[in-house]
Amino acid sequence: MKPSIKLDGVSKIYTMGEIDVVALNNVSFEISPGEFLVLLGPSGSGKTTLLNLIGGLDKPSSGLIEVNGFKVSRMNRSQLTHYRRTQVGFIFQTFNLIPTLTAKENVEFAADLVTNHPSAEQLMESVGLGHRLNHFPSELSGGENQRVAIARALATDPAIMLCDEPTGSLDFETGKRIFKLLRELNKTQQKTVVVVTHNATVGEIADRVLKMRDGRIAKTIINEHPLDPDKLEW
Amino acid sequence: MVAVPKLHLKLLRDIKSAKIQYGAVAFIIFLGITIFICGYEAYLNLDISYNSYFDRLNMGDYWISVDEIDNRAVRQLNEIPGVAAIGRIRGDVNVDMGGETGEKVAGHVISLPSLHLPDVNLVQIESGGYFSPEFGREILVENHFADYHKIQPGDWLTLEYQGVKAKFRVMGIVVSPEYLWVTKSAQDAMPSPRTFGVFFMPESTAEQIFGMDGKSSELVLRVAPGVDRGKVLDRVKGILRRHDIGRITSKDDPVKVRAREIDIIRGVRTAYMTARKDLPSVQLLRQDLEGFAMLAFLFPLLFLTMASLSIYVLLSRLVESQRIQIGLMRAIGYSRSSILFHYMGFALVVGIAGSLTGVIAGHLLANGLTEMYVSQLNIPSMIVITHWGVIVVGILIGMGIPLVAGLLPAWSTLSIQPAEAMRPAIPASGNRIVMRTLAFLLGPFPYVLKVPLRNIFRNVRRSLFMASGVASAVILILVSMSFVDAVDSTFDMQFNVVQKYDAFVYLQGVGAASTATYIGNLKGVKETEAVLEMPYRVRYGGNTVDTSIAGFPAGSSMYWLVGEDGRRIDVTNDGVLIPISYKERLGAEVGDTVQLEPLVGTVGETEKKLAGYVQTAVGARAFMPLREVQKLQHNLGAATGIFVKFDGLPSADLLKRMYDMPQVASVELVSDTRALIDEMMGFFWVMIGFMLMMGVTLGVAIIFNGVTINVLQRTREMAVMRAIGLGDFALVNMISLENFIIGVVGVIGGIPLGEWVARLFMEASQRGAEDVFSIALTIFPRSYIIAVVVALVVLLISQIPALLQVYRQNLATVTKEWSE
Repeated sequence: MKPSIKLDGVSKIYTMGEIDVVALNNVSFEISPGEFLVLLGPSGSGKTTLLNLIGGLDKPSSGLIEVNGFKVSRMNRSQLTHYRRTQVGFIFQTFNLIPTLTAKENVEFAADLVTNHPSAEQLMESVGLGHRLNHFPSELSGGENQRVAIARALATDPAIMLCDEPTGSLDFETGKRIFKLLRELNKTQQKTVVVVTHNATVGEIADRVLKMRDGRIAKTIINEHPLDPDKLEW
Repeated sequence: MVAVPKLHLKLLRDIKSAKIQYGAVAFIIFLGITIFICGYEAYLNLDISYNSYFDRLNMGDYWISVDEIDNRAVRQLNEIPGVAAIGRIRGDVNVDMGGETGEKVAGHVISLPSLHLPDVNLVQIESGGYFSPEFGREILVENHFADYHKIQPGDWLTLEYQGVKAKFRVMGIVVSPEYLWVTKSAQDAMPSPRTFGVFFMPESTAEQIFGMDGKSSELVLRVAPGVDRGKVLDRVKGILRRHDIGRITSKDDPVKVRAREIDIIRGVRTAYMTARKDLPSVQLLRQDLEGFAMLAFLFPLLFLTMASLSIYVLLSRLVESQRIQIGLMRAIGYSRSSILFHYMGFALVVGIAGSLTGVIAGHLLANGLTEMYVSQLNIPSMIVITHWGVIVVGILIGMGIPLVAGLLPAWSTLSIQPAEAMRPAIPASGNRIVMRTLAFLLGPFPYVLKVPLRNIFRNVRRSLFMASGVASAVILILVSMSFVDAVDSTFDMQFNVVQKYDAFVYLQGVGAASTATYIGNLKGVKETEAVLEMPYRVRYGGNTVDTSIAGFPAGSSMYWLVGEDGRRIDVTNDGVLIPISYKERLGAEVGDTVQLEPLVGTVGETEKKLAGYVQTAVGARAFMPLREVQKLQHNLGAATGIFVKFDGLPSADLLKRMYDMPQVASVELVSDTRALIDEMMGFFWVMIGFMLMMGVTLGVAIIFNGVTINVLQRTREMAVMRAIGLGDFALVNMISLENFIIGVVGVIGGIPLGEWVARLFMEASQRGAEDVFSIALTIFPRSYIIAVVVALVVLLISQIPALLQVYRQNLATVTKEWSE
């Protein structure tokens, strides 16, 4: 099966004053369509950088990134904008909802960018928030905010969902519910999901875990039988 | 229902969430556009009103003064295609006002056709009617004089000429386009209506009185639009030559004294031509109007400059605070251009709000201002129209300036990398070297002092913005107060330092200086001094000024001159003292030799050293010792006026005795002149009050914005300080101290800038009217104190809303989230 995401010899170096920081060092791997992948590692291991490169939020210093036929590493700015709009859905640790828009409007904010999208009400229903359409982010709990963020990410019907520490700001039970939602989207809608986390337990629900250290993939773990998110304990 | 794009919704909601700050900037734009529209539309309305009035009354384009000319010349002038001409007689009389004092005033008489209004320079009859064909002893009285003396049609006035008195019936009260602003001359631009009036009498009567049967002493021409004026004037000269007038001089084409002497020897007669634009009354009206236009330009410039600075800082702050949202928008696929336009939209909304409301308010005020001005100056007709061009320009400026100001911060969103943007920004720490130096210097001080001082340098741009807000408030208050101070100081100098006399007696033409002795002997008169004033041209190289030279005794106790340095300076036999308002025009320095040429006659041409420049508030003229001027005129013992100082208030009997003297033309009391000036200044004080109010309002809006930004940008930091135990009082003190120090910096910058802007305004407002009045820039200490205190108090009060917001915050929530 043709890979959904392919990285070949990807490096990312940040220059901070007189110092060069190697965030990623010659990383190569592939992600299959519909795979649920976890990038695991401590702070500074390069996992968020890797996610940003896949999502077209940043450009690699060297190497090739290809996603669903899009040569992301070679795209110019407007091509990257189009790519992000059509191929990728982002979920962030701090939700990043627009505070002056309601939950429904935050979803529509993304939906406005594409034609033929599901209605905001449907998406909100799908994340269990059909009854909270007209609430502002400040009136929602952390878990509800993150579910709105997921609905927003789904608004453009992306093939790939990129999640950066999606439960980092949430309590344990709420976090479990979020992972359960992500897993369901992965299974029912065949979305490729990549989750970045420092919590090793989360890797148990993934199809595969890439452990990162010092900008490299240190280890790959394949879960023959991924754990049901309901059974997560940390 | 049309779905509103969520980006637009976000824009409106973001503005709403900070409505006071955006409202403040919109208000600044509103003020600037209001002043622009109001001032400029009023200027255009007044310009149109004047011109329309001049056209309606067929005001002349040229006045040609001669000793006398046959009225056939008028018929010949009328034969020139495109020219309408009239001939008339001008002369000076005394008017016996009767009453207890037998007061006499100076009257200027102009003849009009006996049976119908003239073809050129009509008068507008305000009440009563024109002359009747039966009775020749009739006059029309100019409105200003009639108004002051409560003269009505049907009243009788006694006119005296060369000792002969006759009663004249007032047939009507009129307004003349030549006398919308009544002037005697450029040097005497504000004669009190108590002592000077303009009258119109039938031609036949004037011919009789002045011995000008079939003749005129003045020709007035009106040239139709589109006619070649050069060719017309050539033909006019030809006609005048046929009537033995060999030379026409004018302000721009003067005749030297020597040439005049030769003309006299050869029997060549001279005429003097004045174009409409050079009439003193027209000059003053025009100068007033230009002052309007200047204010309509300069003030909005100041306001809109501050508005653009506010927009720049506000939007910079917005972009900074919404970095993560910008990163998100980029992440989910919004293009850079859509984000750019989104943030430009903030500036556009503010601009639209400010400019549309400003245009409406300005237009409404323009009508009111025009009406107020027209009524103040007794201008008989008012035209008020909507100037769509000005309105469109106002809207474009009001929208354009915020857009330009907002472009830079909005443009900065283009360079924000999505990944980097979504990482919370590192709080600004300021320049490393500066901060380390401060850390070293402030080491021994407590944190409540260290933190505010460091914060000032942490975000220099933010600190400078706030300082600029304080500076702008100081500038505006200082500029407004400088007008108050300058006028106060100038008239205080004129009436308390310079003019030490109580009355000025105008003699009939050139009289005898011995009249001063005679008046001095009257009971109730303390002291007198003779004055001789003659019209002169002062020349230095190629530069000339037309003025007059006034001669009075050296060491005069009645008239003290004040030099450039503010110290007393006396007339000197060695030279001439010239008004400082002529300095730039003449280009001469003290010690240079200037030529003095009489404007009338051939006697008195000489060279003198420029002995100094003097400050003259009202009526610029040069000064020499009386004896020297008498020598120049070859008339020792001559005088044209007398300074008089009374022993207390003058009695009615004393005034009557003075009026009864045949050599006295009129007596002008200084108290009357002051009253007239006070009345004229009424409108000025209203304008100053308006400027001051605008200035304070602008200052409040800018300072409020700056302070709010300064406080709200650091809500998390302040919440953390409160969380770790810093008391509310200590926090308020820290913030207040920081804001106060920035305010002091603003004051230090604002004062010299305020002085500079005040000088700019003062010079611009007097350009072209140096002959008439000259007001020196003065700023009293009280004005500096007012400006500084008001600015700093506004600063400290402005921080209250922001501090209250911080005080009410939930510490747990704020410390968890990033600062807005």
